[in-house]
Amino acid sequence: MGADTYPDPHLPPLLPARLPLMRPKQGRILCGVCKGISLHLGIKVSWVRLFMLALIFAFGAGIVAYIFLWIYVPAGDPIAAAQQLYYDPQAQPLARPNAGIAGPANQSEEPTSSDSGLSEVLHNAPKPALLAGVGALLLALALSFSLTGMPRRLVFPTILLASSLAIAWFHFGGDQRRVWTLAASGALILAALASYVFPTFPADEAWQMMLLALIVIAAVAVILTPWASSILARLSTERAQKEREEERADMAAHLHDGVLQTLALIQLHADDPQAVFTLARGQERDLRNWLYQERTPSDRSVSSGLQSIAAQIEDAHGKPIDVVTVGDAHPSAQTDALLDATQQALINAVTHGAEPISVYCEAGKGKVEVFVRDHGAGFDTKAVPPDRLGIRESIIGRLERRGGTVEIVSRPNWGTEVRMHMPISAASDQAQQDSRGQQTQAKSAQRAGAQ
Amino acid sequence: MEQANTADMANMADTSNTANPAAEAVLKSQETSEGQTPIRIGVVDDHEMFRAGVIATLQPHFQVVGQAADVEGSIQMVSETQPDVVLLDVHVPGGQGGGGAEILARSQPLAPHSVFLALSVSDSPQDVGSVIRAGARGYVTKTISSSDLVSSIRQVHEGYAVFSPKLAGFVLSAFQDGSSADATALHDDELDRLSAREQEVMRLIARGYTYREVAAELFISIKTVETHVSSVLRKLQLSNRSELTRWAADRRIV
Repeated sequence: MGADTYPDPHLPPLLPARLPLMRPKQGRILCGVCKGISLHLGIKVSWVRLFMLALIFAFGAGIVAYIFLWIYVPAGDPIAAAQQLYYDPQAQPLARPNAGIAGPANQSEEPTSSDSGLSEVLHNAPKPALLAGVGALLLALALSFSLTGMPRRLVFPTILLASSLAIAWFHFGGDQRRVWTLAASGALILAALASYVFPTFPADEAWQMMLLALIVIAAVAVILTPWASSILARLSTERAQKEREEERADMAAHLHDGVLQTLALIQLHADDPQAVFTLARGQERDLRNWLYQERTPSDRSVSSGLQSIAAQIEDAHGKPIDVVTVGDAHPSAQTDALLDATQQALINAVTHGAEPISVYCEAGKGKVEVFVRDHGAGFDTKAVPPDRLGIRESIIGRLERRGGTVEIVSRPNWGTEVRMHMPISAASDQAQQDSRGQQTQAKSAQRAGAQ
Repeated sequence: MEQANTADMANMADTSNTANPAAEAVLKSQETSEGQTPIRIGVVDDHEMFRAGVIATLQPHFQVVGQAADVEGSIQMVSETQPDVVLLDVHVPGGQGGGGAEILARSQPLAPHSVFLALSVSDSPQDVGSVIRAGARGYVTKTISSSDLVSSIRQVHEGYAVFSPKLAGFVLSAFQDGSSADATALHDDELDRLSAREQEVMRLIARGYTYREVAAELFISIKTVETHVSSVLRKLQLSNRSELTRWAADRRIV
């Protein structure tokens, strides 16, 4: 059985597949019903619209059909939906990583049964189209009355009835003013009945009829109430359940992609304490961030940047680093230099010093200070050979070029502390924005070299 | 007796986060052989394995008199056994959902002589803040080494506060200038600001200094450092600064 016996999945289709019936956002006049039909059937949109207008004259069938389609055809982009239907599963990765906080900008929206109430539709529709529609409607009414020879006294009640129905559909899909619309439609129906009954019947009969109508309406309302309330209750519980499900799925995805993988790795490396420590520590950090912190990305916050640097060094050298930050500042060229120097100081601490290693960063008004402390044997700061550039260049030189100061204190059996102070100005934040791009590029190149 | 205690205290303080468990062990064996009555400990943690581990660690040095895994049980345990020190987890099920802070608030009247040391895996300011506001004498994370835990327990039993670098960082964040200008305007009280000396002490602790190193750096005695730290703790528990009250309100214990 050769592979060539399989049909090639990329053959062009014999018939172009129909786009699904959806109401697109682009190119709509009222609700996108006609546009959707034309895309679905492959007919020019103007023909569909003419056909709809013609249908209005058949006792308003066009309007009814339009509203029906508007309610039951989901809104959305049919082209995007078609692409989603026919995506190539081979191009999909096996495991999807968690989506970021900001999804893709061109995210296709969920198909919803209705996008808004009628009032919003009318508000968004182009005015000439609206006028034409109203004109066509009135013409249709006039024609149908004259053709069928309806008695004149029916005209006013009919208009009232129609407007009561319109009001009821006015806020379809909108949550607000439901009660108000219901009351208004009820009142209008009664008014329509009254405007028909009082001219045609004697007064006391007319009153009786009105009373009967009122009783019927009230009875219907009472009958429908439990059903409606049960539907509402079910809807809200379903919505809450859906939210919970999504939350649980998000958590499951996080645990699966992070914690479970790490636990598997820890079992694999059970005989290598250094690897186990690094894995556990890294996972702990990750989980903490996810549980307790609103992480600001490190390109917008100095303290986040410092934490990620400490995390990198912790992972690379397998020694715990205690990070404490107070306050925060916007990154600038000065703080970038400070963070680079901090990185160097931390690398020195984990390679030459001993635990516990602490880094403390305090950002206040006008300056940022970073202290890196280890509890090693210490060294003589004056006896560093001149060819050793680690401290002199990467820490002191870097800061002094940007106007900062450094003190290095080291005592035998006390350890070493690098104290770095960097003045920052609020105005420099904007001024440095342009140079930041080059800065960070140069920086990542340096980091790559340093590792 | 009093002086001996102070000397021990000084030794205890400086070993509070040194990496020298050998010296620690020697020190402790001397202490226990002196024939003092051992400190009585209660352990509150809903995590079975962790509780067993802590108790095994503490058995040689202290007398573990009770343990509990939920809010109601903990309150009952504390009031029945009256331990000297209660090790308290922050996230404990039961009660009104207030966790460790609720245990503290409800059991302190029942056991006026017990002191509480919070021991948690959580790092969030709300959790730390809530138990400290409720009256804990210190806060250490569960990654603490066993020797450090032993000396922390002795420290709170002596009546001093135990501040980890992280907790010092929280204090500095909460009292940082301009972090709540409105609160300082409303309560311009000595409780609502740290003195310059207290700030220096907090900064050094946040920078990873032990109490003894702090004392040497500022040319003061360890006793004085302890006093400063205890007064900071008092401010944490009594101040009306909005960050602190919010911490407590999050846990519904105010």
